Amino acid sequence: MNGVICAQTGPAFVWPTGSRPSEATLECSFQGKVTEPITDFLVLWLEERSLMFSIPTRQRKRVVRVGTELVQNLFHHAPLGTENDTRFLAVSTPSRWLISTCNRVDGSTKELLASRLNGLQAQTPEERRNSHRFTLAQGTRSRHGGGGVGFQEILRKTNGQLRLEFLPFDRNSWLAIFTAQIEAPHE
Amino acid sequence: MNDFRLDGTSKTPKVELTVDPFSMLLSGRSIPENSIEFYRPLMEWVQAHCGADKPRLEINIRLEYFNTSSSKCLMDLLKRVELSKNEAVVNWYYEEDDEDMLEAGEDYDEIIELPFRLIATESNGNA
Repeated sequence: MNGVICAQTGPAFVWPTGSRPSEATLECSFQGKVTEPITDFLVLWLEERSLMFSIPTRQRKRVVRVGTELVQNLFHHAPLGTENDTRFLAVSTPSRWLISTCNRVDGSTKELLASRLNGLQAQTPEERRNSHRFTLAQGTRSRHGGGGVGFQEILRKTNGQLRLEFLPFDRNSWLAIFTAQIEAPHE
Repeated sequence: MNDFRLDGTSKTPKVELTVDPFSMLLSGRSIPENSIEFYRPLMEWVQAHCGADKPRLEINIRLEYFNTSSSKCLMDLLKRVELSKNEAVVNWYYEEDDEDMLEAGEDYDEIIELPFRLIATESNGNA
Protein backbone atom coordinates (compact mmCIF):
# COMPACT_ATOMS: atom_id res chain seq x y z
CA MET A 1 0.00 0.00 0.00
CA ASN A 2 1.58 3.24 -1.07
CA GLY A 3 -1.14 5.66 -0.14
CA VAL A 4 -4.29 6.24 1.80
CA ILE A 5 -7.66 6.48 0.10
CA CYS A 6 -10.68 7.80 1.89
CA ALA A 7 -13.48 6.96 -0.51
CA GLN A 8 -16.12 7.00 2.16
CA THR A 9 -18.26 10.10 1.89
CA GLY A 10 -18.80 12.30 4.88
CA PRO A 11 -18.47 15.79 6.29
CA ALA A 12 -15.17 15.52 8.14
CA PHE A 13 -12.14 16.68 6.24
CA VAL A 14 -9.44 19.32 6.26
CA TRP A 15 -9.37 21.59 3.21
CA PRO A 16 -5.77 22.08 2.02
CA THR A 17 -5.66 25.81 2.63
CA GLY A 18 -7.55 25.77 5.87
CA SER A 19 -10.87 27.31 4.84
CA ARG A 20 -13.62 24.84 4.21
CA PRO A 21 -16.59 25.30 1.87
CA SER A 22 -19.91 25.41 3.69
CA GLU A 23 -22.33 22.49 3.32
CA ALA A 24 -19.53 20.46 1.78
CA THR A 25 -19.47 16.68 1.58
CA LEU A 26 -16.21 14.85 1.17
CA GLU A 27 -16.44 12.72 -1.96
CA CYS A 28 -12.95 11.27 -1.88
CA SER A 29 -9.47 12.01 -0.74
CA PHE A 30 -6.14 10.41 -1.43
CA GLN A 31 -2.68 10.94 -0.05
CA GLY A 32 0.34 9.15 -1.43
CA LYS A 33 2.11 8.26 -4.64
CA VAL A 34 -0.25 8.42 -7.60
CA THR A 35 0.01 5.26 -9.69
CA GLU A 36 -2.11 4.06 -12.63
CA PRO A 37 -4.44 1.98 -10.45
CA ILE A 38 -4.91 5.02 -8.21
CA THR A 39 -5.83 7.27 -11.14
CA ASP A 40 -8.25 4.57 -12.38
CA PHE A 41 -9.88 4.31 -9.00
CA LEU A 42 -10.22 8.05 -8.42
CA VAL A 43 -11.67 8.74 -11.87
CA LEU A 44 -14.18 5.91 -11.60
CA TRP A 45 -15.10 6.97 -8.09
CA LEU A 46 -15.75 10.55 -9.22
CA GLU A 47 -17.89 9.23 -12.04
CA GLU A 48 -19.87 6.96 -9.73
CA ARG A 49 -20.41 9.70 -7.18
CA SER A 50 -21.35 12.36 -9.73
CA LEU A 51 -23.97 10.00 -11.16
CA MET A 52 -25.69 9.98 -7.78
CA PHE A 53 -26.52 13.68 -8.02
CA SER A 54 -29.28 15.19 -10.09
CA ILE A 55 -27.08 17.67 -11.94
CA PRO A 56 -26.99 18.55 -15.66
CA THR A 57 -25.08 16.12 -17.89
CA ARG A 58 -22.56 18.74 -18.96
CA GLN A 59 -21.68 19.60 -15.36
CA ARG A 60 -21.57 15.96 -14.30
CA LYS A 61 -19.16 15.14 -17.08
CA ARG A 62 -17.09 18.20 -16.23
CA VAL A 63 -16.52 16.75 -12.77
CA VAL A 64 -15.03 13.64 -14.39
CA ARG A 65 -13.14 15.58 -17.08
CA VAL A 66 -11.54 18.03 -14.67
CA GLY A 67 -10.86 15.30 -12.11
CA THR A 68 -9.15 13.19 -14.78
CA GLU A 69 -6.87 16.04 -15.85
CA LEU A 70 -5.92 16.91 -12.30
CA VAL A 71 -5.20 13.39 -11.12
CA GLN A 72 -3.26 12.55 -14.29
CA ASN A 73 -1.31 15.76 -13.78
CA LEU A 74 -0.25 14.34 -10.42
CA PHE A 75 0.64 11.03 -12.07
CA HIS A 76 2.88 12.71 -14.66
CA HIS A 77 4.21 15.74 -12.84
CA ALA A 78 4.84 14.96 -9.20
CA PRO A 79 8.47 13.78 -9.40
CA LEU A 80 9.39 15.39 -6.11
CA GLY A 81 6.41 13.86 -4.41
CA THR A 82 6.57 11.58 -1.46
CA GLU A 83 3.77 9.66 0.17
CA ASN A 84 3.07 12.61 2.43
CA ASP A 85 2.90 15.59 0.13
CA THR A 86 0.89 14.43 -2.88
CA ARG A 87 -2.84 14.72 -2.35
CA PHE A 88 -6.13 14.61 -4.21
CA LEU A 89 -9.39 15.78 -2.72
CA ALA A 90 -12.92 16.19 -4.07
CA VAL A 91 -15.89 17.66 -2.27
CA SER A 92 -19.41 18.49 -3.36
CA THR A 93 -21.88 21.11 -2.20
CA PRO A 94 -25.47 21.65 -3.35
CA SER A 95 -24.24 24.06 -6.02
CA ARG A 96 -20.72 23.03 -7.02
CA TRP A 97 -17.89 20.53 -6.89
CA LEU A 98 -14.39 21.40 -5.75
CA ILE A 99 -11.47 19.26 -6.78
CA SER A 100 -8.08 19.99 -5.29
CA THR A 101 -4.62 18.55 -5.74
CA CYS A 102 -1.39 19.17 -3.93
CA ASN A 103 2.13 18.24 -4.94
CA ARG A 104 5.64 19.47 -4.30
CA VAL A 105 7.43 21.54 -6.94
CA ASP A 106 10.80 23.24 -7.22
CA GLY A 107 11.32 26.97 -7.65
CA SER A 108 11.53 27.04 -11.43
CA THR A 109 8.36 24.95 -11.79
CA LYS A 110 6.60 27.25 -9.34
CA GLU A 111 7.42 30.30 -11.46
CA LEU A 112 6.46 28.54 -14.68
CA LEU A 113 3.08 27.34 -13.34
CA ALA A 114 2.17 30.72 -11.88
CA SER A 115 3.15 32.63 -15.00
CA ARG A 116 1.34 30.28 -17.36
CA LEU A 117 -1.85 30.17 -15.33
CA ASN A 118 -1.92 33.96 -14.82
CA GLY A 119 -1.60 34.47 -18.57
CA LEU A 120 -4.45 32.09 -19.37
CA GLN A 121 -6.70 33.43 -16.63
CA ALA A 122 -6.42 36.94 -18.06
CA GLN A 123 -8.14 35.73 -21.23
CA THR A 124 -11.84 35.98 -22.00
CA PRO A 125 -13.68 32.68 -22.62
CA GLU A 126 -13.52 33.28 -26.38
CA GLU A 127 -9.79 34.07 -26.26
CA ARG A 128 -9.32 30.95 -24.14
CA ARG A 129 -11.11 28.82 -26.69
CA ASN A 130 -9.05 30.29 -29.52
CA SER A 131 -5.78 29.75 -27.69
CA HIS A 132 -6.85 26.19 -26.88
CA ARG A 133 -7.53 25.60 -30.57
CA PHE A 134 -4.19 27.16 -31.46
CA THR A 135 -2.31 24.91 -29.04
CA LEU A 136 -4.19 21.85 -30.29
CA ALA A 137 -3.35 22.72 -33.88
CA GLN A 138 0.37 23.00 -33.15
CA GLY A 139 2.48 19.91 -33.54
CA THR A 140 4.20 20.45 -30.20
CA ARG A 141 3.59 17.96 -27.44
CA SER A 142 4.97 17.11 -24.06
CA ARG A 143 6.56 13.79 -23.20
CA HIS A 144 3.11 12.66 -22.11
CA GLY A 145 1.33 14.00 -25.14
CA GLY A 146 -0.63 16.99 -23.88
CA GLY A 147 1.73 19.70 -25.01
CA GLY A 148 0.32 22.34 -22.67
CA VAL A 149 -3.41 21.95 -23.26
CA GLY A 150 -4.14 20.67 -19.75
CA PHE A 151 -4.51 24.10 -18.15
CA GLN A 152 -6.56 25.34 -21.08
CA GLU A 153 -8.88 22.35 -20.85
CA ILE A 154 -9.42 22.78 -17.12
CA LEU A 155 -9.97 26.52 -17.44
CA ARG A 156 -12.57 25.99 -20.14
CA LYS A 157 -14.40 23.32 -18.16
CA THR A 158 -14.40 25.42 -14.99
CA ASN A 159 -15.22 28.73 -16.66
CA GLY A 160 -11.85 30.01 -15.48
CA GLN A 161 -12.33 28.92 -11.87
CA LEU A 162 -8.99 27.30 -11.26
CA ARG A 163 -6.97 28.60 -8.34
CA LEU A 164 -3.29 27.98 -7.70
CA GLU A 165 -1.61 28.61 -4.37
CA PHE A 166 1.85 27.83 -3.07
CA LEU A 167 2.85 26.94 0.46
CA PRO A 168 6.53 26.82 1.39
CA PHE A 169 7.66 23.25 2.03
CA ASP A 170 11.39 23.63 2.61
CA ARG A 171 14.19 25.90 1.39
CA ASN A 172 13.98 24.65 -2.19
CA SER A 173 10.43 23.50 -2.75
CA TRP A 174 6.79 24.49 -2.41
CA LEU A 175 3.47 22.72 -2.26
CA ALA A 176 1.49 23.64 -5.36
CA ILE A 177 -2.23 23.50 -4.58
CA PHE A 178 -4.67 23.56 -7.46
CA THR A 179 -8.36 23.99 -6.71
CA ALA A 180 -10.85 23.68 -9.54
CA GLN A 181 -14.46 24.67 -9.07
CA ILE A 182 -17.25 23.26 -11.21
CA GLU A 183 -20.64 24.87 -10.91
CA ALA A 184 -23.11 22.01 -10.60
CA PRO A 185 -26.43 23.12 -9.15
CA HIS A 186 -28.83 20.33 -8.27
CA GLU A 187 -31.78 20.20 -10.64
CA MET B 1 -4.32 -4.52 -46.26
CA ASN B 2 -5.37 -5.44 -42.74
CA ASP B 3 -8.11 -4.56 -40.35
CA PHE B 4 -7.15 -3.38 -36.89
CA ARG B 5 -9.44 -3.82 -33.90
CA LEU B 6 -9.21 -3.25 -30.17
CA ASP B 7 -11.82 -3.83 -27.52
CA GLY B 8 -12.71 -0.85 -25.36
CA THR B 9 -11.64 -0.65 -21.73
CA SER B 10 -12.48 1.73 -18.89
CA LYS B 11 -9.67 3.98 -20.16
CA THR B 12 -9.25 3.28 -23.84
CA PRO B 13 -11.72 3.33 -26.71
CA LYS B 14 -13.04 0.53 -28.81
CA VAL B 15 -11.19 0.79 -32.12
CA GLU B 16 -12.23 -0.62 -35.48
CA LEU B 17 -10.13 0.26 -38.51
CA THR B 18 -11.46 -1.69 -41.47
CA VAL B 19 -10.56 -1.87 -45.13
CA ASP B 20 -13.94 -3.01 -46.41
CA PRO B 21 -15.83 -0.86 -45.73
CA PHE B 22 -13.00 1.64 -45.52
CA SER B 23 -13.79 3.13 -42.13
CA MET B 24 -12.47 4.10 -38.75
CA LEU B 25 -14.38 3.93 -35.48
CA LEU B 26 -13.34 5.14 -32.04
CA SER B 27 -15.96 4.83 -29.35
CA GLY B 28 -16.13 4.94 -25.57
CA ARG B 29 -13.51 6.79 -23.60
CA SER B 30 -9.92 7.73 -24.25
CA ILE B 31 -8.19 8.67 -21.01
CA PRO B 32 -5.01 6.56 -20.89
CA GLU B 33 -1.96 7.95 -19.12
CA ASN B 34 0.14 7.20 -22.18
CA SER B 35 -1.93 8.21 -25.18
CA ILE B 36 1.01 8.36 -27.57
CA GLU B 37 1.67 4.67 -27.12
CA PHE B 38 -2.00 3.79 -27.47
CA TYR B 39 -2.47 5.79 -30.68
CA ARG B 40 0.77 4.68 -32.36
CA PRO B 41 -0.74 1.63 -34.14
CA LEU B 42 -3.66 3.75 -35.31
CA MET B 43 -1.23 6.25 -36.84
CA GLU B 44 0.62 3.40 -38.52
CA TRP B 45 -2.60 2.00 -39.94
CA VAL B 46 -3.51 5.38 -41.45
CA GLN B 47 0.02 5.73 -42.81
CA ALA B 48 -0.17 2.30 -44.41
CA HIS B 49 -3.71 2.47 -45.79
CA CYS B 50 -4.61 6.05 -46.67
CA GLY B 51 -3.77 7.83 -49.91
CA ALA B 52 -5.23 9.92 -52.71
CA ASP B 53 -6.09 6.83 -54.75
CA LYS B 54 -7.99 5.08 -51.94
CA PRO B 55 -11.78 4.93 -51.43
CA ARG B 56 -13.52 7.48 -49.27
CA LEU B 57 -12.74 6.90 -45.59
CA GLU B 58 -15.58 7.25 -43.11
CA ILE B 59 -14.32 8.29 -39.69
CA ASN B 60 -16.76 7.76 -36.82
CA ILE B 61 -15.84 9.27 -33.46
CA ARG B 62 -18.16 8.49 -30.58
CA LEU B 63 -16.17 9.42 -27.51
CA GLU B 64 -17.73 10.14 -24.15
CA TYR B 65 -14.53 11.27 -22.46
CA PHE B 66 -11.04 12.03 -23.70
CA ASN B 67 -8.10 13.53 -21.87
CA THR B 68 -5.85 16.25 -23.21
CA SER B 69 -3.09 13.95 -24.37
CA SER B 70 -5.70 11.96 -26.34
CA SER B 71 -6.99 15.20 -27.83
CA LYS B 72 -3.53 15.85 -29.30
CA CYS B 73 -3.25 12.29 -30.58
CA LEU B 74 -6.69 12.52 -32.16
CA MET B 75 -5.59 15.73 -33.83
CA ASP B 76 -2.46 14.01 -35.15
CA LEU B 77 -4.54 11.10 -36.44
CA LEU B 78 -6.96 13.35 -38.32
CA LYS B 79 -4.13 15.49 -39.67
CA ARG B 80 -2.44 12.38 -40.96
CA VAL B 81 -5.60 11.46 -42.87
CA GLU B 82 -5.82 15.02 -44.18
CA LEU B 83 -2.20 15.00 -45.35
CA SER B 84 -2.67 11.66 -47.10
CA LYS B 85 -5.14 13.38 -49.50
CA ASN B 86 -7.53 10.48 -48.92
CA GLU B 87 -11.12 11.60 -49.40
CA ALA B 88 -12.73 11.35 -45.97
CA VAL B 89 -15.63 12.46 -43.84
CA VAL B 90 -15.67 12.75 -40.05
CA ASN B 91 -18.86 11.87 -38.19
CA TRP B 92 -18.48 13.39 -34.74
CA TYR B 93 -21.12 12.05 -32.34
CA TYR B 94 -22.00 13.77 -29.10
CA GLU B 95 -24.75 13.34 -26.54
CA GLU B 96 -27.36 15.99 -27.14
CA ASP B 97 -26.92 17.59 -23.71
CA ASP B 98 -23.13 17.38 -23.70
CA GLU B 99 -22.24 20.78 -25.15
CA ASP B 100 -18.57 20.32 -24.26
CA MET B 101 -18.27 17.40 -26.68
CA LEU B 102 -20.09 19.43 -29.33
CA GLU B 103 -17.62 22.29 -28.80
CA ALA B 104 -14.72 19.86 -29.09
CA GLY B 105 -16.08 18.68 -32.44
CA GLU B 106 -16.42 22.29 -33.58
CA ASP B 107 -12.81 22.93 -32.57
CA TYR B 108 -11.53 19.99 -34.63
CA ASP B 109 -13.75 21.05 -37.51
CA GLU B 110 -12.16 24.50 -37.38
CA ILE B 111 -8.63 23.11 -37.53
CA ILE B 112 -8.87 20.05 -39.75
CA GLU B 113 -9.54 20.41 -43.48
CA LEU B 114 -11.89 17.45 -43.64
CA PRO B 115 -15.70 17.64 -43.83
CA PHE B 116 -17.23 17.22 -40.38
CA ARG B 117 -20.74 16.15 -39.49
CA LEU B 118 -21.64 16.95 -35.89
CA ILE B 119 -24.31 14.44 -34.92
CA ALA B 120 -26.33 14.67 -31.73
CA THR B 121 -27.30 11.40 -30.10
CA GLU B 122 -29.67 10.55 -27.32
CA SER B 123 -28.04 9.54 -24.04
CA ASN B 124 -28.46 5.88 -25.02
CA GLY B 125 -26.25 6.50 -28.06
CA ASN B 126 -28.93 6.58 -30.77
CA ALA B 127 -28.39 9.22 -33.44
